[in-house]
Amino acid sequence: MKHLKPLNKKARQLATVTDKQEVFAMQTVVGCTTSTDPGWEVDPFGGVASLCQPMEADLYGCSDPCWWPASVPDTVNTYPDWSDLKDTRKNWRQLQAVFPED
Amino acid sequence: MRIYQPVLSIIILSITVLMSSCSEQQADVSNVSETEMRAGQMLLSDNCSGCHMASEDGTFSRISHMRKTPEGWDMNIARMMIFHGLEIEPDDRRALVKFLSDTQGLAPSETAAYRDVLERKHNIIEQDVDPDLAAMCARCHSFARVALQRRDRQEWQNLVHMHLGQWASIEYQMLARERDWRADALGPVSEKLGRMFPLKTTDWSDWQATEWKDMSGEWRMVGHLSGQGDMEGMMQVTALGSDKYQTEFMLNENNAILKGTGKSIVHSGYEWRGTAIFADEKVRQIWAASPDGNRMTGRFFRQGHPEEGMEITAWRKIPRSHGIMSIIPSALRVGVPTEITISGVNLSGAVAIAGAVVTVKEASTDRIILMATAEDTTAGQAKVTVGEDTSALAVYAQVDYLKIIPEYGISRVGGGPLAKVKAQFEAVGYSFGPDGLRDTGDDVRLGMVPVTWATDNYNAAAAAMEDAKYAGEITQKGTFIPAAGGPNPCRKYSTNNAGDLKVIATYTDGNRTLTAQAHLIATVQRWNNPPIM
Repeated sequence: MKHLKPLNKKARQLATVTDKQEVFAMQTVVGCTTSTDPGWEVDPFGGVASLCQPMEADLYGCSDPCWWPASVPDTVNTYPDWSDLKDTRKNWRQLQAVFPED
Repeated sequence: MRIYQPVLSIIILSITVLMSSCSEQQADVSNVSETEMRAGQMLLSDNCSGCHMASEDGTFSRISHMRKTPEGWDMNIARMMIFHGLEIEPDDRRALVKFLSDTQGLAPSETAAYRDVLERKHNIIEQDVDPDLAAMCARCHSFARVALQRRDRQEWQNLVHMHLGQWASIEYQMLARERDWRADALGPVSEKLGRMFPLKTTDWSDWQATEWKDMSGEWRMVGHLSGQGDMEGMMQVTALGSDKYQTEFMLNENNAILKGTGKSIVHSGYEWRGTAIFADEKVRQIWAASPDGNRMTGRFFRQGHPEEGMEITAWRKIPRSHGIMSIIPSALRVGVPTEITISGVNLSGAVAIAGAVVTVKEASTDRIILMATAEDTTAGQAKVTVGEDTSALAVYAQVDYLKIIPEYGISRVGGGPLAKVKAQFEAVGYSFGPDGLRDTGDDVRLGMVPVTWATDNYNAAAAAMEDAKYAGEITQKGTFIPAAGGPNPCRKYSTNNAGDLKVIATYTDGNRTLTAQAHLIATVQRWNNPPIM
């Protein structure tokens, strides 16, 4: 952080953290996607406080650019119809799992 | 040049002799019959050759240039259904998985390091992954998904092209945008993967040249159900032909008899896959047989709930084989008379536990039930003897400390088509051992101990969001049951019932109280749940 100046409240909070730990890819349980910021299941600190939540509010912002295709079906190429629901916040129970079981 | 000719001739002759001896060895063993080969080729031709070009030598483009596990091949077929609209009958899909696993599978030695993921164990943390491959591949899915495939460099490059074509944002995700992702993936990474996991290996050719064993017979089983306890029992396996089997189970779990029947199939000569019904509950098996076909290890788990499972070991009952498989419970407290069950195969002879008074109550070649009382001087590992067979039993004066397994667990909210994913914890007791110190080499593992369970907020951020109040509840069996999915209007920002929690186990022994703590991430659903995560 030596050459970076925090500009907003969250960045200033980060700058004051003293027990920073280095983050390694997949140093968390298998099945947790860490591919991008902040991560699908876990945030960069291994918790859930910095996830986009409720995730339904931003779900198609995650699935359209195939941000976490291993966890959230991507609607660009692979599952174009997955996002047919009108309002995910109300209709989240209708979201289907995508792997075609035998 | 003439002086080199005799040497060259000898080398060529040697190579010819070597090649002929290899081909003779391979010809002696035919694990896949000609009829099965013809049927498999027909399936490939009927279902795949519309896109995958067939060559005169019987190979198909792409398909013939990779090897995979049964789950890997099944995911491949699923991908063809999703990406390219392949329509295939379920029976044909299963038959193709069987044929491809038998002819282009992985040898036992090639899957050994990655069985945890293959067996769908929950809470696996992959260790020692090459950091470059972790960033390239394992940032989205398990590294095991990669390591359970074999391809040459060019075929790994084809996989890179598929990823880039299908998920265009792959280049600008975190851990990709800081590098020339495309050049790295197609260059050094494909090169490295081709070197680490090449198509042709002696492990696979030797395994193909080994006679794959029939699995029918009587099997002795022992197992452990996380948080619940130990199991021992029997499995009767009857051959149905074509590597398919009928199974019958009689299991004893905490003195409750569980009966079940099922069907199984063996892929690649050792990959046992099965389903069985126990009291209307469907359970699945993903096991691996040893190369001699006489032992199996793996997991039972509930259909649709891979996180709820039991690790098992099975030994085939054959005349000259004998040994102790398990001792339940695995620890004996000094001065406390305890009923102990020794399970094994062809057990016979005198029974003794060093430093303990033993009274045998029941004895058969499968199982010995005895009462044992350890003397005050025997804390540590006590030798258990049954005739020629030996094992060890922990003897302890008191539980000195606890650990929770797993140290880091995960659960997922659920509802609608996606079931909740629970998290199971277990408290394991330890004694300090002779040096009286914790976490040293002489500490004695005592196995599962009874505790009370609770959860709490993991840190100040979790406390501010009241995670422990909303994320779910833990039962007194150590099972965390997550709350429902969806936005929760009662929470700040209507956030999900996710949470960052401490899991706390408390053990009480008279006036003494011991506690241990684990970390639980109670998080959101995932909608893409293939067999290899």
